[in-house]
Order: sequence, then C-alpha cells, then structure tokens
Amino acid sequence: MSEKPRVGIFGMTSCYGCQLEIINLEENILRLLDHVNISYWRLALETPSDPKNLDIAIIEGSASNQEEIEELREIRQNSKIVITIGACAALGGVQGMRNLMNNERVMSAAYSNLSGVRATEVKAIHEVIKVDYAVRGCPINKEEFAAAILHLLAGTQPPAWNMPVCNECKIKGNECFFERKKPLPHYQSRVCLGPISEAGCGARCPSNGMPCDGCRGWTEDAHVKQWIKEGLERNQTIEDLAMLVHRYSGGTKDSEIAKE
Amino acid sequence: MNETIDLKHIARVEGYGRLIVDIDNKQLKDAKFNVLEGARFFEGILLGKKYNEVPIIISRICAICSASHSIVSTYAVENALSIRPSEQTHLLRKLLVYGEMIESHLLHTYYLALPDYIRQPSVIPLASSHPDVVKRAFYGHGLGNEIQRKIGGRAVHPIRNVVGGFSMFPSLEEMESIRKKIPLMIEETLETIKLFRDLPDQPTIESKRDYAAIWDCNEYAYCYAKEIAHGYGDPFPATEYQTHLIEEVRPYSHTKFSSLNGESFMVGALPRLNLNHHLLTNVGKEALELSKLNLPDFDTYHNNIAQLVETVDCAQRSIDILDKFISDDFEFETFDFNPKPGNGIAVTEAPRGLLVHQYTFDEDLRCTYCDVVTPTAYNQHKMETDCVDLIPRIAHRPREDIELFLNMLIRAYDPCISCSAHSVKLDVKFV
Repeated sequence: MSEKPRVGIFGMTSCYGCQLEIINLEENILRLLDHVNISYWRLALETPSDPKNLDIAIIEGSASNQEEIEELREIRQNSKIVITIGACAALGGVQGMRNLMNNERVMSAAYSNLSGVRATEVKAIHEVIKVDYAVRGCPINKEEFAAAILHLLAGTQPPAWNMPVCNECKIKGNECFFERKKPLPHYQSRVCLGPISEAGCGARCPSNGMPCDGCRGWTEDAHVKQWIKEGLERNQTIEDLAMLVHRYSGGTKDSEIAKE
Repeated sequence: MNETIDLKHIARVEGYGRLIVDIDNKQLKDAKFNVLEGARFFEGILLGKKYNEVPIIISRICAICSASHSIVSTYAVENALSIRPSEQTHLLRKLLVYGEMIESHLLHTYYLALPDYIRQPSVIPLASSHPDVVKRAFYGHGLGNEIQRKIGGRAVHPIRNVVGGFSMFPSLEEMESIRKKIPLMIEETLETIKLFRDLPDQPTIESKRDYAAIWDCNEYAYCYAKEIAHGYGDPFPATEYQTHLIEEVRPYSHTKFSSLNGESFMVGALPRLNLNHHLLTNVGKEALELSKLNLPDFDTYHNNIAQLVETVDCAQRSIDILDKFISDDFEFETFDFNPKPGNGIAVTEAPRGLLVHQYTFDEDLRCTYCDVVTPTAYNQHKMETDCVDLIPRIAHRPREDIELFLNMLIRAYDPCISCSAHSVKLDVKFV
C-alpha cells in the first residue's frame, strides 16, 4: 500500500488566520488526517520532521523580506504541488497597501529607526514562485479549503468561480448597495466591490450588512475602470478608490492600475 | 560550565519567535527573546484612511485576537469622533469577546499547551491516547467560534462590529441555539481544569510580581474599561498608558522593552484573575476553587489553568447576556452618527492580555496617527526576566528537559508573535 501524501503547512507574513481556519475544521481535521500525513506545521506540531519531499505545500502569507523569498524557493523545490491560502498569499494582503503608498512614510510611522528593518516590497506568492492553486479570501473559508484538498487528493482540479460576488449576493436576496434608495449609514464605505470581485464566499460581507471589499481579488473580465467611474460619480476621490480596490491586492502586478 | 540554549523557531505559538538563553554555572547569564516575524507596518498603512475603514483593516493584525482588535479599534475610533454606542452594542461586543476568550483559551490550552504536559509533540496523537479530551476540545473550541460567527458574522475577522454599533444582528433562534450548547461546555471545561491541576512532574516558577490589566471596579473586565490596574497602588486612567507603561530601546536587542515602574510585568489571564477573582460569576468561582489556584499567584505556568477558569466564567457570562437578549426585547437597531475630528484611546483585554489602540483623525476624518500596543509586546520583557528564576531551578536537569521547560514557559504566555511584530515599534538597531 502506498504511503499517505505528505503535506507541509507554512506561514509567511500574515495574521495566521487562514491556518487558524484549518484548526477551526475541528473534528474534520481528523478525517483529513485519514488521507494525508501532515509532516510540517509550525503552528501545531513540535519537532517538525523535515519539510522535504512534500506532495502538497500549503502556504499562508505574503513574501515581505529576503528570508521569506528564499524559504519560498526551497518550498517550491521540495514540493510537487504548491497551493496558497488567503488574501496575503494570493494578492499581498492588507500589508501590500504599503507598496502603493509612500513607503518610507508608512515604515517610519511604525518604526522609529529604519536602518535595520528587513522589509522588501510586499509580494503575492505567485510573484515569487509558481503556484498551482489559490484558495482565496481573508480569511479563507474552511470548507472551501477542505474541498480543495479533497480535489487534489482525488486528482481533480479544484473549482474556479469566474463570476462576481454580485451573482451570489442576488441569490441570497440581499439589497444592492448601489441601488439602495435610502442614504448609506456612515459606518459603510460608499461603494461595494461586488461587481468586480471573485465569488465563492457566498457574498459573506454583504450578507452581514457590509459592502464587499474584494478580499478574493478581481474576477475574470472585471470591469475595473467602469467600477472606478461609478465610484467617481458617487463623489469618491480617485485615491480612495484606488486604495479600496487594492485593499488586499497591493502585492500583485495588477496594482499597476492603481499607480496610473 | 557554559551552555547556550537556542530555541530557534518556537513551535505551537502564533508567529515566529526565538529564545536564546545563556547559562553559566547553573545560573542565568543572559536571556533574549526575539521576534522574527515579518513586519507589516499597520501604523503606516492606516495613515490617510477614513475612520470607518480602520477597524476592518486593523483587525487583520491578528486572527486569534481579531475580535478584540476589532472591538478596541471601534471603541478608540468612537472615543476620537465623540460617538456614543448603545447599551445593547456594549453587550453584543462583550458577548463577541466572551466567544473569542473561549475559542482562544481552549485553542491554547488544548492544542498548544497540553501536548507538552503529556509529553507529546502535538494534539494529534492525543486523538488516540485521550479521545475524550480531544472531543471536549473540539466541542468547546467550536462553540467559541460559533458564538463569534453568530454575533460577529465570522469566526476570524468579524464583519458586523462597526463604528457606532453592529451592521447586523443574530436571530432569536440563533441565540437560543448557542445558549443551549453552553452548559455542556462548562461541565467539560471543569473536567479539563481537574486534568491540568493533577498533571504530575510539571515545572513551576515564582516569577516577579508585577502585572497589569484593564480595570472596572464593578465587574471582571474582559472587554473595554476606562482604567488600568497594576501591582503598585491605585489604577491609572487608560489615557495615560504611555506615561506608565514605558517602552524602551535596548542596544543589544531589536525589540522594545516594556516596563512599569522600571520593572518587567505580565499581562494575560493570570494577572486578570489575580485582580478580579472576587468579581467572578458563581460558576467562575466554582472553577477557581476546583483549580486549587492560591491567588494571588505568580507562577507563569499557571496562566494555562487561569485561562480555563476564565473560559468557564466567560461561558456563564455568555449565558447571562443571551438569557437577557432572549427574554427582553432584543432590538434590531438602526443607527447613524455625526462624527467629529479628534484623538481617541481605548484599552481592552485580548485573551493574552492588555491591548491598546489610539488614533487621531483630521477634519476630513482621515487617520493621521495610530498607535497599537499588543499584549505580547508587553510580555516580551517578562519572558526574559522569568528565566532568572527558572534557570537555577532546572539547570541540573538534562538539556532536553531544560528546552522543554523553556518552550513551555514561552507558550504559557500564549504569545501572539504575529500580533506583536505587526504593531510593536520594533527598533531594529544592530550594534
């Protein structure tokens, strides 16, 4: 009988929320362990066996310094399949906003002395190494993660949604933020990213009374320029719209659009 | 004999931390705790952002304390902009924090700390050796998450807690369904308190007696208070945190050191229990009695069992709030407000201790200043000074025991290293 596939779980710069969502699977983790061997996971295991010869590497977080870039290259060499979990890994995450801001001003606000700060430009993982699949979201949805792993074990391709959050929002019967007659309350942003963001979350934020803020990234054929036009018509500044559209995606090449 | 113990990447903690201990002739020569987590510069990212974006972005500092970050940031923003949330909003926020305390404390005690106490590398082997304990872990931890999901909209990074109140409310059925599940969790956590209490051959220390926590003379404060209490006399107003809790740079390290009256101090469940035990619920008092903790207690390792006592207390408090909501008319509030520019400070307790947020907003209600100090940033200095007491007690033991007990010491703080790296002002100055 062949051995169970070896899985390693790695954390780069992030809040560890996506790894926490894996733990939040509770007893379903044990079911997953019937099928895989977790051979490396700092968050949960002492004395990890060596992170080599992996069938699947699971990576959370963005690359934000040279050590992480080197570690990522090693992980790629040691793994047959690399998947990322979460917005930091897929898009750069909220820390990626510093790529779009005055970087020195951002860093000096957090650090009184910048001479030894080991920080490079924030990068999504696929900007550093080849990534085979990304489980999206900030944080990921644990069921979607488990389903993706089961697909990989079965040798099938995990799903891509290729449709905007609006589709799921309509199915849920939520009132559209763009079509609302009453003025929006102050705690909400003036615009919703649903029309240009990748679905798969079940319109999580709109279903909880908040507009979509695009944590899953842009969907295929997203009409970003049209969305920006809509925003400008709602009295938003171009700077605010650029920051909102890249709240999670400052670590990708897409962010060039914001710099325009 | 000179010996250096270097725990390069401490496992089973959130984040990337390293402890280096130099031992000379069975005495501690030097101990350094390093934060190696990638920096995220939150204080800078928030510059120029509108006030209503702040809680959404800042909760991403940390997953396991995301409810605390979300809540303390909404309070700090509200204080800055002169917004007064409703009484029901305070209660919902408390309920959300109780859910987080339950979830985080049980994650730490069962999954991260317990394996050390029964000398296993992780919780996974416990599934076969201690199936009943692992079952309790799943149930209690899952229930803490369920409370956060039903109240906050999501277990990690709550959506519904916003500046001024809540964007959506749980249904009566949802509240009743959580309410029904809590008593079993209390019963099972009491069992786990006995388990931790009776574990043989465990390390102990008598650490320095300095500690701090938020303070409200009327209740055990887990969620937002106006004062900070400590071991040196009267509590001080939360707004004076920068005067009392001094952050200092030391040339040999690249992290800042926090001190209170010139000494390291501890924040977290044990300090809170030391300060507030007379304010526990009756069920909480029962848990405390069962734990056999003799308060005030200054053994850092007892932070684990203190977390379990708090879990029981928070579970009872959740029942009390849910019962009130279920029997009184729970209101699906709509609200709006008139924000005014200004500066605001708020302090709360994350599961692992004192958490401070401060913001300033300009005329356009954009953030011009942000300061976040996290519990692990406060605890780092104490992690080092604890080694002074610990090392002479354990230096005669085999090296693997010394390493284990040091790992257990760091883990007992339930450190959130990602949190501390993302917000403490690391002064990275290499000599």
